[in-house]
Amino acid sequence: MTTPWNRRLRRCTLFLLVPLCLGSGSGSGGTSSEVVFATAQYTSGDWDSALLVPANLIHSLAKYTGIQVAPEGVTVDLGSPRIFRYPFIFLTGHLPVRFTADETRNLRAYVQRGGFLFIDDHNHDIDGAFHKTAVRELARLFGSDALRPVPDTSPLYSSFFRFPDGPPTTSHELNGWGDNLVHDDLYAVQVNGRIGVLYSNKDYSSEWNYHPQNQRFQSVDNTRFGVNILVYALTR
Amino acid sequence: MQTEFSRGARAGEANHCMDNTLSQPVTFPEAERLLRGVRRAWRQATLGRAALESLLLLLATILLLGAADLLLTLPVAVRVPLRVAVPLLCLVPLLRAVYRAAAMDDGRIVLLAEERIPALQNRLATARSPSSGALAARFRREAAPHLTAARPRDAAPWKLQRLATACLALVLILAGAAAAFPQSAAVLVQRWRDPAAAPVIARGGLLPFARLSGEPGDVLPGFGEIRWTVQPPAYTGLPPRSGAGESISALVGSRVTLTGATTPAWEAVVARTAAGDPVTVAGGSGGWSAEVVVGASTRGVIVTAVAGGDTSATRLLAITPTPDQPPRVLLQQPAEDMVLARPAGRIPILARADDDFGVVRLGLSYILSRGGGESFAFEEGEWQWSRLSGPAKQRVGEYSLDLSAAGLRPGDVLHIRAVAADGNPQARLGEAVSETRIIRIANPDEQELVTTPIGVPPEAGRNPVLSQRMLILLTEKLLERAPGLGRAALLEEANDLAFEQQRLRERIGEQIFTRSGGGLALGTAAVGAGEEHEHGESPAAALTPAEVLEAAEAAARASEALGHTHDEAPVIAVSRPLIAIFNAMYAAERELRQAAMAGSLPHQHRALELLKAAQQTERVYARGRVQVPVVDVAAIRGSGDVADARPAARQPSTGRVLDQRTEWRATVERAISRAGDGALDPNELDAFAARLLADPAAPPQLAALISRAAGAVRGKQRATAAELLLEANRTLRPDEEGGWASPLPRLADPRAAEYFSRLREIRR
Repeated sequence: MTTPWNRRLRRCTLFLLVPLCLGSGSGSGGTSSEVVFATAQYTSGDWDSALLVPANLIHSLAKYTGIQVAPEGVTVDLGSPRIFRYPFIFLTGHLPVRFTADETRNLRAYVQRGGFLFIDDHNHDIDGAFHKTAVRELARLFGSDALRPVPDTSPLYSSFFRFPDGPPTTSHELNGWGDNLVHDDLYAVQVNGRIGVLYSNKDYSSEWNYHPQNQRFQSVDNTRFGVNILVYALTR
Repeated sequence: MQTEFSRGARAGEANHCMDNTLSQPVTFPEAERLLRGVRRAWRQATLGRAALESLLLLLATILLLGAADLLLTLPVAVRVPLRVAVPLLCLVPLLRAVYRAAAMDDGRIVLLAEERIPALQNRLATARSPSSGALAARFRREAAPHLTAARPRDAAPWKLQRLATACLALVLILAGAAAAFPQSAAVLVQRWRDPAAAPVIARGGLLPFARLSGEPGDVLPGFGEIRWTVQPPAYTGLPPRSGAGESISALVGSRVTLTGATTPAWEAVVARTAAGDPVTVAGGSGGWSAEVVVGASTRGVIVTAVAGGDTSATRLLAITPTPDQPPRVLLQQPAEDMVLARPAGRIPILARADDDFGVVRLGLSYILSRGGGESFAFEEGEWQWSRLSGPAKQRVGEYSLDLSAAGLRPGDVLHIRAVAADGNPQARLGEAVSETRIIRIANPDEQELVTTPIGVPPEAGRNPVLSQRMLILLTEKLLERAPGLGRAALLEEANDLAFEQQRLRERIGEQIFTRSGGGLALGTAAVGAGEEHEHGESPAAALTPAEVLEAAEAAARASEALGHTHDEAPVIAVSRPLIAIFNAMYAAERELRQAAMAGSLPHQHRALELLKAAQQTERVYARGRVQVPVVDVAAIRGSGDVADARPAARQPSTGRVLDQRTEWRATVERAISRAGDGALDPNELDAFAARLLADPAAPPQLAALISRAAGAVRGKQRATAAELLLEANRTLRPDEEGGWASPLPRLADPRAAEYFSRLREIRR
């Protein structure tokens, strides 16, 4: 039973507590207490294929939570030590993913030190080169059995909104694009009991790649799962 | 024989009677009843005696083996098989009796009864023979009372007294020995219950250290020097190395053998890894040895000596596993990514892989992507090297990529990388890969964009080309210094600048050549087929690089060239902005060759201006330019509907590692102060070292130092112990040079360090 009082209390709690314990990326588009949404720039593919996703998720994060977030995202070169400034990094693309030596070294350290990397296959195609190469690269970085399905009971699906049936289906899956399959699970590399790399083959990059103002045309905001991912990455 | 004869005689007599009478057969139920009773009694007695014999054998074996183990300390390799063999051996009498009981037939039971019961007077066998007639009836009347009166037990008496007495005696002896020597008995029980385990190490824990806290630690002899031998994995080809001490560094997969001397007071030496896995310890002449294979998570070995049923001494040996690094792979050619005007010509590919222990495999893989937007097609595979050379530790692969044969089309993207692996069977993170080179075939409309760098990448290792801005600065400096320089020196320096200007101009020229030639016009690549043209002129493919350069230079000389484009050769029309830059550089270079710096500078500034304009040319995206909005966070804040947001309760982390490090440091400092007072208990140090070794967050060197300090205390070397404790304390200070770093590695970037500092606080 959700009463107005409960809602107010929950909102107040989130608004007050979360900003106290978050912060990142000073001098890179945000103040020292703000979270900065970082998009990974990697050498091998079209890293900039979903330019509106960061703005959309920043918009949703501000809309639903009290997390202090910078109004603009940044692009960060995976081969640069700048990635260590950001607790959350988003990586997407259509083309083959092949990390350079610097990118490999940085990513491995980033994840093992507590960073969160969200990789989304913009092709939503299990036979696509992005999927095959990204999965292969993750196996090279973290071990062949590191990438495993995320169970529906994972805190990822309850970190803010509740998704009892696991990851929400994207319209691109339902439209039969890509491999014409609905992918049931997300995959993750766990580090010390926490997701360090979240891998999606569901094409959230297409699903969320629209102007934030257009969220108002949707009966159910489809970026709510993005909020869950961000809250999970920033608070666990 | 007498029985057989009697039975035969009686049977013959009975047969004779039957032959004479030829009457109906007569049955003898008394005989069958007696037979069943004798059989039952015989079976009971036989099996009872056999059970007692088995028990007696077992007790005697226990007594003998226990005594032998106490006196000689049987090795584990003997105890393990005996634990199975002895019970099986003791079952032999019982099994033999069961077999005999099953094999006993009626005839033998009858003979047994007639032999053991004289009152039967051989009537049982006669009664069981088929007979009839008057004679048989008369025989029954006469034999029935005898058969009824006979007692089956007389045929098979128990006879258990002696065996039972012997068993009782042995039980009494064993109980007396256990009562007299309870510790030895306990040791024996534990040894034989779990031969591979330490008698005093409980399952799943490190009991001996806890038990020994507070007990005097110097009453029993400790370990002397423990030596180790590290046999690296076979694939490395490295020789074994030996040494002594508590800290061992070994490659993952190495076999470490520990050896030490034993003392007469010890009953056994047992060993376990820090993770609690048993390690087999072999005994020898006055010594022991243990062998462990180093895994990625191996942290050390705890060796325990047992005397008097309890821990006599422990030694902790820290093992630092060194993972074998995968090979280092370099893709030397092509040195950079490239965009080609058309898929023609050949590109040399050269890769090199180095590994300490030898490269087992060097491959060349590719992915070809074709398409755009939401529709891509991919093809991946591996090319075989044209030539693979070099020693095992330094393999070099060469391949010549034929772009025409590869079936590339405009817009195709080719990803190339070299893949190498060494012989390490335990490599878990896969093979090593080189940098990926991307070769893209330009789209036709792309070739008119000066921002698309079509052409051959610069040669690897070549001196970097000076930028136009740098050339301007150098020219200005030379102009300032010119009055003080002699004519020859001035000409020489000006010519140097002219040479650099030429190199930069040639870079621009490369762009033009590639567009005109459609392939790799310079270097090792061959020029491809001609390019399509629009105005009916001769195809640009007919131009060689020299001809293109000449055409460009002619265009620069022609004053009207830039103002009139209709009659230009296509190469000039397409690369008009580049040619303007090329021309300005050409003019600047010509002035410099005459040491006319002042005359050169305007051309250089013009070239720089054109370059900046070209760099600012809009990049064209297939999907159109995306305007990324800036979110008005303050306006949107809290406007979302969170009615159905139910964030689950989070379990905050305890910041365990940081807390533990503080606790460890406090313990070490307490030990240092006690060492000064001479009140340091080595067993407490051992317990502390064991806790450290069992904790993956603790550095194994720290545990080794504490263990060595415990040994020094036992050896009455207080100064050494204090020194080791101080060293241990230093390793727990993250800020000191050489000290143990915090769980999150120190970062060069202070902002990153700040972020992780905050992250730790969040987790705490």
